[in-house]
Amino acid sequence: MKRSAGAVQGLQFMKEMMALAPPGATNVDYGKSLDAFMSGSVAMAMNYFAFYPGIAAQMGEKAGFFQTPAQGETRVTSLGGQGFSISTKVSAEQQELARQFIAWFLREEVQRKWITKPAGFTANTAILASDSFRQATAYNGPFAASMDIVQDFWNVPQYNELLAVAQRYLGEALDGVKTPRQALAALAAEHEGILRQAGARQ
Amino acid sequence: MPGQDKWLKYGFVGPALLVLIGLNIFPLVYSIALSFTDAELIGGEWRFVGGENYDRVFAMPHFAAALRTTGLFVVLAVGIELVLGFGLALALRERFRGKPVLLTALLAPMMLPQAVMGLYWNLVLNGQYGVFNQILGSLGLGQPQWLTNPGLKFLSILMIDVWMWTPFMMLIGLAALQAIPGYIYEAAAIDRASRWTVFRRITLPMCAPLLGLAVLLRATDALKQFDLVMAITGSNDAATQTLSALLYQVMFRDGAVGLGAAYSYVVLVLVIALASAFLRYMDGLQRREGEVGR
Repeated sequence: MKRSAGAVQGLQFMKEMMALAPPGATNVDYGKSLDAFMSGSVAMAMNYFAFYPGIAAQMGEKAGFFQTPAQGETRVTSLGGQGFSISTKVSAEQQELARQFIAWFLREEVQRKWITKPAGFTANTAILASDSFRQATAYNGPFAASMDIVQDFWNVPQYNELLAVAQRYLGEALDGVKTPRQALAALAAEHEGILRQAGARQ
Repeated sequence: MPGQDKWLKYGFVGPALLVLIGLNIFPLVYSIALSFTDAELIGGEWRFVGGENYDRVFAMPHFAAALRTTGLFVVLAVGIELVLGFGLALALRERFRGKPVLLTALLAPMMLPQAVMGLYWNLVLNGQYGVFNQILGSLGLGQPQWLTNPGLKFLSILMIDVWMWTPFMMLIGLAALQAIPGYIYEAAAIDRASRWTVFRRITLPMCAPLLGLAVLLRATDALKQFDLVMAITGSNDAATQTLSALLYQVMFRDGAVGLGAAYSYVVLVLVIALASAFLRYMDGLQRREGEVGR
C-alpha cells in the first residue's frame, strides 16, 4: 500500500501543495499553522478538527471549514489524535475498569452530553447522521462527512516507532532529499523491519 | 577518642557518599542491567534478552547516519571555534582602552543556556519573519530558509554553536598566551625571528597544551549536542539528528528503555575511546616538546 502508485502520487501532490505555502512552511507544526491562520497570514490551512471550535469562537463567520479534498475517485482522511486504548501493562482489574468506563462513555445519552463540550467530537453514527448535529456548528457537517472516510493509523503497540519513521521519511520527501517513491520505499522497508522485530509480521 | 573519631568520620562522609551512590553509581549499574532487557518506558514486565539490544544498535539504520552527523559537527564546530577563538585571543592579547567591556560582551553568548539560545535563534532565523533574513533581504542578499532547507539546517546549528562557544576558546587562548614568559619573545626579537617564525616556534607550541585541553572539553561537549538540535529542528530530522537526539528518540519517543540504555553505553565507550586517544596524543606531544627543549 505504501509503495503503490497512488501513495506516490499523493505524496507528490502534498509536496506540490507545500510549494504554495509561505516560506518555511515545512517546519510548521499544528500550533504555528493555527497562529498563521488566525492572524490572517494565510487564507487557508490544514489542521485538526479539535482546534475548530476555538477558531470558530474567535473568527466567527470569517472562517469556514471543509473536508480533505478528493484526488480523482479517492477521498480519505486521517484521524487526528487517538481513540481510547487500554494498556496491557496495567493489572487485569484496571483493564476491566477501563473497559467499563469506555462502555459507559459510548452510551448515546453520554455522547449527546459530550458533544456539547468544547472539542467534544463523537463517532456515534446515529448522532453523526442527525441534522441537529450537522447544523449545530459550521464544522460539524464536514466532521460528520469526514468520519465516513477515515483511514486509521496503525493501531499497534509499535505506533511510536512507526510514526517516527514515517515523520522522518515523509519529511525527507517534502524537503526534496528523496523523491516520493524513494521515501515511501525506505519507509515501507523500515516499517516491515519494525513489525517483524516485534513479531507482528512473519 | 579513636572510636568516636571513626564514627565522626563516617558521619561526615556518609551523607555525601549516599548521594553519590544514589545519583551516580546506582543509576550506572541499573542502566547496564537494563541494557540487557526489553524494558519499556511505560512499565510492564521485563525479559532478559542478552546482547540483542547491542546487536540492534549497530543494525539501526539511523545510528550510522547520526554518528556521521555528530562526527561532522564535532570536527567542524571545534575546528572553527579553535581557529576563530585563538585568532580573537591573539588580537586581544595586548591591553587597550575598553578591553574589559569588549571581553565581557564577547563572553555573553557563552553564559546563556543552550536551550534558551536555540529557541532565540529559532525566531531570529525564521525564514518568514526572522530578523536575520530581514537584514539579508534589505541588503539584497536573498532570504535563505535556514530552518527548513535541508542543506542549511545543519549549518544553522553549527553557526549557533560557533557563536556560543568561540568565546570559550578565546578565553583559554588568552590564558595560554598570558602564561608565555615575555623573555622568550625578547630572545626571539634579538635573534631577529620573523613574526611567522615566532608564532610557529614559540606561541603555538607553548599554547598547545591548554588549547588541547580546550579542544578536548569542547569536543566532548559537542559530542553531546542535543539542546540546539531540539530547539531548531526537533530530534527526528534526518539532516541534523545527532547521537543524543537519536537516543532521545529511542528512549522517550519509542519508549524502548532497554535499547536506549544499550545505545547510551555504545556512545559512552566511543567517547571514552576518543578522549583516551586524544589525551595520549597530547601526552606524546608534550613529551616531544620537552625532549626538544633539553
